[in-house]
Amino acid sequence: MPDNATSVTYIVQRYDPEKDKQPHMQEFTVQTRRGMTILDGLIFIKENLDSTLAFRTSCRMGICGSCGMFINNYPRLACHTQIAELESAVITVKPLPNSPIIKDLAVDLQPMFEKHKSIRPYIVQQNKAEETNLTHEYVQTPDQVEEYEQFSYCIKCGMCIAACPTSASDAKFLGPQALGQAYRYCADSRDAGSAARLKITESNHGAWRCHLAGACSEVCPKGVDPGLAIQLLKNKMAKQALSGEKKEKPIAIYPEPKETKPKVQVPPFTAKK
Amino acid sequence: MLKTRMHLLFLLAAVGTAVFLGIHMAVQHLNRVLATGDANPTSWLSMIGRATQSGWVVIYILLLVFGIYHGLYGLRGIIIEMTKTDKAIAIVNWIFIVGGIVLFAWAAYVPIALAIK
Repeated sequence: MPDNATSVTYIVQRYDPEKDKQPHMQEFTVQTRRGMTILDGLIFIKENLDSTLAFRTSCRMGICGSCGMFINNYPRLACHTQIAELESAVITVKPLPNSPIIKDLAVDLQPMFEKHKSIRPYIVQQNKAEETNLTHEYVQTPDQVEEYEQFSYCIKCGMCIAACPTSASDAKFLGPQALGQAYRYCADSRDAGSAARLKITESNHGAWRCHLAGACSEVCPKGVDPGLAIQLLKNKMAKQALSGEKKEKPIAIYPEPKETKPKVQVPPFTAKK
Repeated sequence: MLKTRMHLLFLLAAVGTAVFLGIHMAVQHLNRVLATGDANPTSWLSMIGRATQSGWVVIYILLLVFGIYHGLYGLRGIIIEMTKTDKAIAIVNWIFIVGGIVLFAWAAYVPIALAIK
């Protein structure tokens, strides 16, 4: 954006499936100020120019993952993208590709959540009762945490899916989000569900359909690198396929303390008069 | 983990195809550049000569197996990406299994027949 510019043109894709046959573009002129984000501009449009504009937003600080949009033909979080950084007086805003449109810029992320659920995105215990009622404290070294930590920052914004060429051609593809999270849990030393999870990820629409485009990692606003997670997941799958069905390793737990130090005797609290 | 094993075989077949196709190219088509093999390796007599040697028959059969498997598995992957239902995927799988066997039998007939002769 030029330094002297005080306004930008928003070209926003509008589409109401109940009324429109085809999506169409609508122009708005928005006054800008320093530090203004794309989301601020959209809120300005909704509050001042066209209240029928539909988009999804919540936290406004890049945490909730609600405001993923296709901004100047690139998937970005609207709240995390400043108008100035686009260096353009014209801003095109479209809904995220590869997801059905609910209205205007709001897409239906339900398919992503269904796929996410299908890979069992939680720590599976050998003892089922332990899953809901923990009786032990589980040991995890810093190195073991590092194995999955990066991948646990996923905010489920769906931008990796919007960028993924396989998700574009195969609607049933599990997608980088679900596959990345499958690896996140498989890599967790407390988890005992890898064997079952890897069977899901090796399906006809699973990890082997990934074409290594790497677009998911490029667009991820949290630096999760789902592309790397998928490659590590493939590595795990290959190892399991070559080594046969192995039983899950027992999860390390802290032993019950043999001796406990007596509590320091603290005088009972007495209110000063 | 059958699908993973099949995919690993697909990768192995790619390497195998490159190796055996490399041997084929070096001996039969790049002999002047690389100074390998016969002076005229594409002549009928040279080809018949190689076809009666078991080592060459094994190389050709392996090249055929790897090439067919890699090609058809890759094509199947592209088609499956656009196939919506499990039933359709099963049909695609069977078409490729039967097609692959027929293709192999058809292509392997000549080297095997010549080797037996």
